[in-house]
Amino acid sequence: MTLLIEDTARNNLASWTCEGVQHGSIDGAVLSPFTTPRTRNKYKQSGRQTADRLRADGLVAHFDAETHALQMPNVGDFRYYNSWPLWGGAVGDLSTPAAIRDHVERVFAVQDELGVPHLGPTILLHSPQSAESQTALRLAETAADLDGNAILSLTGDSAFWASRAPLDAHVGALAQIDAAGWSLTVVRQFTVLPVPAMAEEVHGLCRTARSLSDYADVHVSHGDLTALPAIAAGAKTLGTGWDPRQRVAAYASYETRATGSDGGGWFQQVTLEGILSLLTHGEATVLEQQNAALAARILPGLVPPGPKEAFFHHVEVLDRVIAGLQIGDHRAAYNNLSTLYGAGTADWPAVAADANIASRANAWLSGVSAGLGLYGQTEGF
Amino acid sequence: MDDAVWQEAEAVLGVEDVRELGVGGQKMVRLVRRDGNECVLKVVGIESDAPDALRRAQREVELLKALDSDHVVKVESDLVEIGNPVVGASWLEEYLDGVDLADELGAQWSWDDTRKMGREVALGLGAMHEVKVVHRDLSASNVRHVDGGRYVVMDPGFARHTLRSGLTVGGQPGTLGFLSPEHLQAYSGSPTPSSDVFCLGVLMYTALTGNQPIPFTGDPGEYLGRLLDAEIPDVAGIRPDLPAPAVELITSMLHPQPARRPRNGNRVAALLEDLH
Repeated sequence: MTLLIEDTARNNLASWTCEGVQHGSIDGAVLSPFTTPRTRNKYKQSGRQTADRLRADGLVAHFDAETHALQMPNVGDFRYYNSWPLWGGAVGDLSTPAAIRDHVERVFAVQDELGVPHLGPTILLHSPQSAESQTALRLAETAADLDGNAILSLTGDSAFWASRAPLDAHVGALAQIDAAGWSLTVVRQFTVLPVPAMAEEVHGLCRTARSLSDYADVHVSHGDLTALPAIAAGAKTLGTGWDPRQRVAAYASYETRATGSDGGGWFQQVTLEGILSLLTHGEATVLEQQNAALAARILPGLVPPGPKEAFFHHVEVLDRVIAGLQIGDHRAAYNNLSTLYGAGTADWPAVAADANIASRANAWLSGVSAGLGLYGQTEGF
Repeated sequence: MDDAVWQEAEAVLGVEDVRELGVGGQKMVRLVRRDGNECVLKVVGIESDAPDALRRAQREVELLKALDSDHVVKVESDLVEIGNPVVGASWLEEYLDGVDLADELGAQWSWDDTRKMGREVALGLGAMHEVKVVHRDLSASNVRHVDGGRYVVMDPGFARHTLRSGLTVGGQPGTLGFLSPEHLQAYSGSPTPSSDVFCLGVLMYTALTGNQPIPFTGDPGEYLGRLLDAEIPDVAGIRPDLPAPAVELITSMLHPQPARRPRNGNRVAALLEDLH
């Protein structure tokens, strides 16, 4: 299994996830208290109903308390969050060991209510050496103390993941906990694709995935295409979906929403396996019309007609790429992904010319490719 | 530290003075006798604004007292506070004959001798790690090779926590030339059991090659910069006669990423056992 579908503001998490299994190796879905209500309303099913629906189809459900969203600037979309009993005192108060323990116990109790595995909460880190990183370590230790089989979380912004030796030291302290699994998240400012991934941040995520995966399964939450280097470094699964909010963990996803709209317009961009990039539906259609052979090779196949088909195609692409990276040892995975990035960079000029657009190779591939390269240097590949 | 401090310590702990074993800075070590048996009295001066360090030291002494390992010096008393207000802390340890490991390093050791030393020090560290104590200051001067051939880990970091002097930039106790990269960090990234594993890797590498992997040459800033990079000459290049698994283990113990090293002393001991 290689994919977990992240929660969505739309009401189709269970249905599309269950259908998506026919298109790729989907393990299940991750519910969020920010986008799934505890009790059913006229628009969305309850968390328990969604979890049950997934399990009925043989999939797993997770519940990520996303405590790390509470530290984001302008967080304000609490419509569903406040329905979950995650806090005994003030929301977000982790100032004492007792408050930390109470919060973790409440998160686990909610997960028990949903019948999902224990996934320990964490906070958003900007630096791996700070009072906040100490709190994150205490949260992880407390979760492991309460349940030695819990999956633990590590969440930071780009600066956190790019901080080299201090990051490695923090991860070293976490590794002492000997968790059953790890969920890693890179948080960004904006919900935009392509993700503006910095090379050093990708390098940090790779080093972390490489070291933690020696002992436990590593998942990259909201990782999508940007997490492929981490997969090459040893991560087992990544989070994805049909909307950008499922593919990027960003401040903007948790801000107060101006209207009652939950879903907004459908995301129709098309994933092209050969260049590990997205094109708009219109651009992909032009490419297909101008150079059908190239389009068929790099999509591969035909342009998906709608958002649902685009999601299924995206799942197929991710599944194939990840499967290719999980054959052989770490060096082989690194070489495979380097080759894919090289091929994608080489194909972008032709894609741009035939689709009549400027090349976006730099935006899609430069950061992740450079980060993978730094990881390769660190490993001596 | 004036004589009144250690004299009060001897009175509080009910021991009879024999002779001085060592003194330096804010630390004093004396051979004493209690109930007819020789033991070591250790006294450290404490700055009045370091109550957290004192509490931590008390906790660690308590844990170490409960240890029963042939490879960790035995703590034979509680940690007691000296003075009012507190100006020092003191405790008793078993007396160890023999020599410090520092006196035996220099020439290149055989793999078998290095393996024995590494395994026994690892067992000592492992016993500490099991009770959540990190040594933090493992160096060639903190390992005793006693007359019977046994290696014993001495001076766990609790002693140094009571001192402001001798701390690294990350606020950690440690000895230049024997630090891990995590000694440069504070907060969540400060030394863990895998940092002790790195320091044991330094001892084993030094024994095998005759040189420290990241030597301290007199300039602390320059040394700490090299420690941060943790670029270490390949041990196999210096000792091509070593078995490949031995090289692999030493290299993993000295990995710059703590999560890539064996997790704790017991794990290292088990790996060394397998390398028989």
